[in-house]
Amino acid sequence: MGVPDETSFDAFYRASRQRLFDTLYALTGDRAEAQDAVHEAYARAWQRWSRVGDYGDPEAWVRTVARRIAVSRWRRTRNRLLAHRRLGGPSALPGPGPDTVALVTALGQIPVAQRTAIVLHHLVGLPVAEIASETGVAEGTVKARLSRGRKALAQLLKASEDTHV
Amino acid sequence: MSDRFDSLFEGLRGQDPPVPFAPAPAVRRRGRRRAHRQAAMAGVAVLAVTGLGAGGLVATGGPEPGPGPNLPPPATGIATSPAGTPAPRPELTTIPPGRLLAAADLAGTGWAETSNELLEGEWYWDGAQAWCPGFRIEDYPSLRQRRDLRTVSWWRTGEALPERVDQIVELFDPGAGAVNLADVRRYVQLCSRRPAPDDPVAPIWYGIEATGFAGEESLLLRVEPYHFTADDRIEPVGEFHHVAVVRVGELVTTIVYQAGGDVREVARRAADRLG
Repeated sequence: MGVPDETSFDAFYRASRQRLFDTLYALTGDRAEAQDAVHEAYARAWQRWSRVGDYGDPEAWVRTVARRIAVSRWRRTRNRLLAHRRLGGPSALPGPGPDTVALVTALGQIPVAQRTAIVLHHLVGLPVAEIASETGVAEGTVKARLSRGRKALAQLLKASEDTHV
Repeated sequence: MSDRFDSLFEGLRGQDPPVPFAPAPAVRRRGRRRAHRQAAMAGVAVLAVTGLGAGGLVATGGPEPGPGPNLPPPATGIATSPAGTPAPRPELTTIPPGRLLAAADLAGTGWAETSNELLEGEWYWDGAQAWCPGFRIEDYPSLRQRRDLRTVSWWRTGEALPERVDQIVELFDPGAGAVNLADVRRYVQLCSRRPAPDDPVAPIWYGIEATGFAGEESLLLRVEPYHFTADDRIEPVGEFHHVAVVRVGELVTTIVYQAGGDVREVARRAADRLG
């Protein structure tokens, strides 16, 4: 294993961290959780940078690690968070605009597999084949998740618009 | 509609994080500290691995392509419960009313119905590809033969923590109910594991505590999740819960039980409602 190249890692981190944060925020609905998962994923990338830095798409590697970190933490807390959400109501997120809050809230209301496909396609801009590769499922499954996720999101966002008109 | 989504997501780009991003040198320091801790723990990990025999845990290097080498520990007696000869039942096309658990089926009082969108639509065990490298939803054939799915969630304020009971009932094509139970067993064998050194994701361990306690087939799983601590060690969350899977004909119920009381008794009541 060679000596990791700090310059290339630093440039990669600065160029990609905002995209990765946007993706994790869309997936988790929690900016603090998203930012911590992003930092953790980059720290793991640095541990292996002599190898990961040579990958054709190191950003995909970091994105996958960050998603796994977020899912792991989410699995741990999801039921309690849901219970608290039902008891206390959704907390307002300072910062993002109402459209973003509505979108992130709606994303949180669809199953994780559909949410992941939607975010990777519409936010990250990945084609179906790359989503299939990154998430380890068949292209047909990705298409089905995109279709079901779009339908559910459209309904949720329409309901949100109706509520706030 | 796709254009509308694209424009909606455009607005999501460039969101401010809650605090400024850490400078790159700080991220590298975090990576180095992580590496040092893992090196210090390696001796302990080696001891743990040597105790596991041929099915031991091997470190993973991250999400490189291909199934990872994470093998589950030997399952604790996966067995099919003794199946009787069930009386012929009418073939169902949808799940009839009254098949889900009611508050009266649960131990104690004070249960309130709630919803849990996370249980709806997809197989309960789906999503494991994020932390179980060999998991592919296509490998579970019964899911293509699912006709209907219903869910219910109950919660109440417990003495220390909220108590929850989430239930999914799924209806399968003739013969596919038993295939679904086999799918669940295969999932448990594939994905149940303890942490390995350098794991990028905290795993979940499933132990089979009982079989054959309700319905025509049943499994009782003890679920022990792991998580990353603040200093980057993977440790047990320190809490566990149970998942009971019960089949009656082509109806299969999955009960996620995070409450006091006897989960087997609740599973038997669920089986009575299915039958």
